Amino acid sequence: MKKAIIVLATLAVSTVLAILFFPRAKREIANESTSQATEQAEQDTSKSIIEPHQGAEKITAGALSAANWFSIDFTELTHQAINGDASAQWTLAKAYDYCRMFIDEEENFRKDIKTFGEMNPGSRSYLIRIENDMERRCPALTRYDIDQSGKKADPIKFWLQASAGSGNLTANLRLAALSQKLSDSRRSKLIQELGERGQPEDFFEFGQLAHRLKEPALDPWTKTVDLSKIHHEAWAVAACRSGLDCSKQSSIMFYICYMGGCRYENYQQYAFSQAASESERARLERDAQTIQAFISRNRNP
Amino acid sequence: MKKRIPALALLLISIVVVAATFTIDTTKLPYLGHRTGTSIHNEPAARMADMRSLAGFHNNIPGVKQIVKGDIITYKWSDGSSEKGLVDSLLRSDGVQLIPGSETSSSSGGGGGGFTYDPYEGGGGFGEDDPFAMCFTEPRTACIRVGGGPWECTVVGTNIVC
Repeated sequence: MKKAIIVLATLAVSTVLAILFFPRAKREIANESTSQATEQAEQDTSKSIIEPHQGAEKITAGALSAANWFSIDFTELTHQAINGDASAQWTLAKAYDYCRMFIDEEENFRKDIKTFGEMNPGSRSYLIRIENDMERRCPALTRYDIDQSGKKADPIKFWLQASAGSGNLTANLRLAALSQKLSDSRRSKLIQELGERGQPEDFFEFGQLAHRLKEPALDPWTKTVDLSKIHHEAWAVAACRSGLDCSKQSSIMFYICYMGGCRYENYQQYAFSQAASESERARLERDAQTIQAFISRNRNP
Repeated sequence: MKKRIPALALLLISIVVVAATFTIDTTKLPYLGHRTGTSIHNEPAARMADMRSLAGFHNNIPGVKQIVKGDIITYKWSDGSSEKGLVDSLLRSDGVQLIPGSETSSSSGGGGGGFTYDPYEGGGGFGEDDPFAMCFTEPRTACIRVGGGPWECTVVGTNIVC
């Protein structure tokens, strides 16, 4: 007992010293708390100024349709995000990611599209459609600079933090995927929130984190399934089957097509094609059904 | 102390058992002429974008083994420098993450792991210290095209994957 107290006291003293003298350690500890991270996100975004470039068109409000990715007007979306709509902020972060190569490296991107289309003639029309779509919609995103405490902010992270700060679970999951650290407490909190209010897109995003579940983690619904053992693609397949648009009309399939998967009609087809054997496909199917059952529990509590 | 180990390192350790490794050499076909000017001295965001573009280029070559999530790619840039990337996600623009410490400058030569072994150039014996003991081989494909014609890919050798 005495020994344990000495060990604990030593640990406490060294932690305090580390916080006092090593700013980096201070940051890492802060990052481990989800609530602190969310608070930070709120503070960061509240300090920011979003400035339209000179000559920007006047924004007109309009209904945001998320039914079809290609029908979303990025100008309207920006307007809704600025007005604090957490869902629009998440979608806008996705829009910036979708447009990133077109905005940052337009010449190279166009070269890629041309080359990939020549290598895979079957994918040419889809890729050209994407290029035309980016040409049409992405310039709207370049009309704004985000000034965050005097520095130009990365719009993807900025809008993800704004959305997560407003309680959007999907954005919070994406931030966790982007983060180099996923602490036990943050992981537990995300799983708990997924159990309480997760919708198909949240399950899809959670699948992007699945490979980082190292320790057993019981599901929050039945407490019988170890989530760390679920096939990493099962989350996405279940989300797609539960209503998330994973068709060629979705942004998801643009990424897959760019990475050589244009021949697939939807994400489910792609996911199953990646399974190395019949037994892996069977496991993916079984796990996808398990996750589908969890999604439907959240929809029909 | 355990928690202080960077997540990326843990990720790499866990992936090493199942992940495939690839080499994308921008000084050689079929990657030659693609993303020229990229080097380890460029901005990280630009390098990650180029890494993703080259991974996409690779995956679009008909008949090659596909790069998927979890794979590790060694990139050899046109200035002779090289570095590695980890495919963290196919569904993000920054999905290929830089692996810190894997950079090798053109002058320092070698190192960093991830290599291509050409059986036609021979290879010495390593005795009991054979570094390739746990490796396997896979076909190496090269693709060419004439003018604006279609790409034609053939197996030209063997890559050794460790």
